Amino acid sequence: MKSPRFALNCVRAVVAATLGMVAGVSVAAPTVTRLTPPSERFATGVNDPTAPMIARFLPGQRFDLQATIRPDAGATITGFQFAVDGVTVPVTASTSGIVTTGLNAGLPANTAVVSKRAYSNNVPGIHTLTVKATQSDGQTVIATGSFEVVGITNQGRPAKNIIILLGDGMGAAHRTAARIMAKGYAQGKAKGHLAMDTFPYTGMVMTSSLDTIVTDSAPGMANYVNGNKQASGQEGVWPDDTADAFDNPRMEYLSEYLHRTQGKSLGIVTTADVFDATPAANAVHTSNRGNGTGIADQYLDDRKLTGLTVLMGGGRKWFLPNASNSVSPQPANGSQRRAANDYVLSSDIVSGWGAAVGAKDPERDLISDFSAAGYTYVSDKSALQSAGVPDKLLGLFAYSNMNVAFDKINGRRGVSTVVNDYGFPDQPMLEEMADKAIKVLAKNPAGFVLTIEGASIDKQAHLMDSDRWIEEVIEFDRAVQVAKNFATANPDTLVIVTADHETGGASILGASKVTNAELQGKANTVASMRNEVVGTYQDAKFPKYTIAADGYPATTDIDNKMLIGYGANADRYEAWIANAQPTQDSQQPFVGAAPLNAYPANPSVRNASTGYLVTGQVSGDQAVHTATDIPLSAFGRGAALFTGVMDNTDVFFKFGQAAIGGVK
Amino acid sequence: MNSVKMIVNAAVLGLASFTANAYAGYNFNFDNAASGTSANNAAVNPYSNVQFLSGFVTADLDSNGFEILDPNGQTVPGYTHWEAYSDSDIRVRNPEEYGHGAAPSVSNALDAMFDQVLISFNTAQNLSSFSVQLDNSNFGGFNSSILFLDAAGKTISTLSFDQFANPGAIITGGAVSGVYGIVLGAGKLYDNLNITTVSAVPEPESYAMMLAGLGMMGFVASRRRR
Repeated sequence: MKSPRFALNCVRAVVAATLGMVAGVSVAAPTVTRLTPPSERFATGVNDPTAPMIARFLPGQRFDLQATIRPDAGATITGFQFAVDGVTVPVTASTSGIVTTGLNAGLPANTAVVSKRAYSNNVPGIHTLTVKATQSDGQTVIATGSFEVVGITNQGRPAKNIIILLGDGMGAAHRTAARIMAKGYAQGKAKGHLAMDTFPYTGMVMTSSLDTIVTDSAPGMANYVNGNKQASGQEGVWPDDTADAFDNPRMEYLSEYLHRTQGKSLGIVTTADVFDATPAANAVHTSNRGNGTGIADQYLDDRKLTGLTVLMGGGRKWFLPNASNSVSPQPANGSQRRAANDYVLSSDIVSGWGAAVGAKDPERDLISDFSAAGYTYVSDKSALQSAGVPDKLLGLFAYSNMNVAFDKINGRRGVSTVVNDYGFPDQPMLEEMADKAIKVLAKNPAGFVLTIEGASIDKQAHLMDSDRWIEEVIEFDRAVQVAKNFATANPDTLVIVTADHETGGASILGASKVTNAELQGKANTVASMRNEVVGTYQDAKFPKYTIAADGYPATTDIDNKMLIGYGANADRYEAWIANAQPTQDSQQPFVGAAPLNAYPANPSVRNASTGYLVTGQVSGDQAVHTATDIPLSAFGRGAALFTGVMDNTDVFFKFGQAAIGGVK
Repeated sequence: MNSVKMIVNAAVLGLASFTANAYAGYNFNFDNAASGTSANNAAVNPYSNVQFLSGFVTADLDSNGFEILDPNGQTVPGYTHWEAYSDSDIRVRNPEEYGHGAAPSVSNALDAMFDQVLISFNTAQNLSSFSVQLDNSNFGGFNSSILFLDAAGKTISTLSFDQFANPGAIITGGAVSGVYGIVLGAGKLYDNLNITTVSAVPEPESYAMMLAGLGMMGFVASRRRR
């Protein structure tokens, strides 16, 4: 007698044979392995009305249609056709393309990536997208996806200006820590509020990106300003199957959409290198956030698409010519321009989007080109202040990321030489850049979109340098106050304050139980530096910082100072005392030379002789981003739209409603 | 926010209008005053029956006086009406000064760039035709619309258009009866506004119905204030 197990195996064999026959039939036709814009309908093959709509657009917002099609062995793709709601999308040779070379490794021979560039749809509602492809033997395939056009209704007065203040990595704990340090508490009540605390509407934002619950800054920012989920490291594009990082299918940014349809200007202000993910994710389209040369070039090259009028931050290394196309040895002028991370666009993108073709030109003097295009260039705070209110403004205040507030302020106080070590002793504070940017942008009677980033909240939280990121939040909040002042005087302005994600799993543990002098004398043991120092609950009491006339703590090393822990930490030595020097920034072109090469290399060696080892929960040298929801506060015209718990892409459509349909 | 409800406008101003002028139509080219002049200046708007205001859409109230909202706290289509801001400041401007191209006629147009314009009538208007010309830019967004409102501020007719594809287009509409307001969407300037009306002489029994209706509207307004 045969066992039941044998009978089951027989059934499996029959099923497998049947599937094999079906598979045998199916290989006689091409297959669609990617259909863009992304949709659950294509990903699952099921038309489930309860599934989230992944791709959404404002009426008329432009985006690319793209599919990856694999023909059968020996066949080639000979034709393709996109259709929306069953109606064929007209394809012209200049705005569409079939790419069969330069594809990602591992794809079968003759795989084709087919595109229709800069499509748009004005009709609100959910639309069906199909692609039909034909291979050389006449066999065809049809794949179906979906996207939605979100309707805008006339509701009242529109917002003329939109200011996005993005504290990179700024979760709720970061905001709270800055309030404790800058304002103080008395008997449980805050003695003052941060500027962002005074915004009348607050919501929570879900920050996940297209491919992970924990986003990085590229999609984290881009999701806000084009309404679509992007993948890790990508900005203004969806993933594709080609190796070129600048040919991915695009979606139109808020800046591009409002410049094209309303004539608004774009401003970008950051304390980071301007090529960094957050600033670039307002204007640049690339699947590789690290391509600094191409990113910097595209700011200028496509200014007619974005309306770029103000660009300020660090990042001079991408704007200076590098005739040798080499950074080893490092050119004396600090340039890190390389042909390898520059761009040349394909003709269908150029024709479809009206984009500049670009060039791989490490020898380009981009500052000169900005100047020739009418931008006033400033290189330090003094020049910024004396520049007046030009029509267009480029400010590059460091080779790469600017110094943080902690070091800039101590430089101004004459108690630190860090900014001198970096070679940039006269860097502006974020609020000084924000104030100038708003004055320049306000000259456009059609209004503006301005993103102001407090970048090193994130960068210092990665490094678990608590004193530095808390002061970064204080600096950021002073820029918030500048924006609020403008919106108060110009009530047709919408201001939001939020973050792209949280960094570090930062938490306010409590406060030191000892004086600063006692802390300085502690042995670097767990028993001494943790058990005798960390005060929780009522032992924490209320740390009292003295705020100097410049708005920052006279010192962060007070008696009974606030103590920060990290839930997403790498190994670090914790001494609780402020670090006299920042940890090395690998983005600085001269980080390998004196004096910067003597700075602490990373948190796993910093304070090794003075602190105790806190074992990390993640590998590597830095704390990481987390998936926690982050707060968003809103002020001005349309602020009431920003309440409840929302997806980061929802924010884009609230901008659209406020700027186009208006609000009651 | 202070606002003047359309329904209150219609009821209170409507009473006064029984003795007001009856116009066969309204024609505006917005060129009889300098750029920046109020659109309600007599040189621009000679009609005592018409006001240019700013407006917004808001939720209706239920029988208990609460706003009718969906579970997400949003207004529900069909349960909304338009109201006028009390601080309306609608002006005529030269579109060229704002990057919107030359005015379709002469130098000025009606400025709705950053403020939707609500054209408010003291009395019900029976429109036989309507036309307005868009500025010569391709700004102004997509799927823009012009709304025709009844006494309660509810939309009774809609004209949709796409300025991006049709800069400078003349938007025309046909007959609409009982119009107390017209909403011109924001993001653009408008020129050559022409509204032709059909005068309807009320029958004696209609006077009684209108008076009863006005009384009812007053009642509704009163309940809303509670």
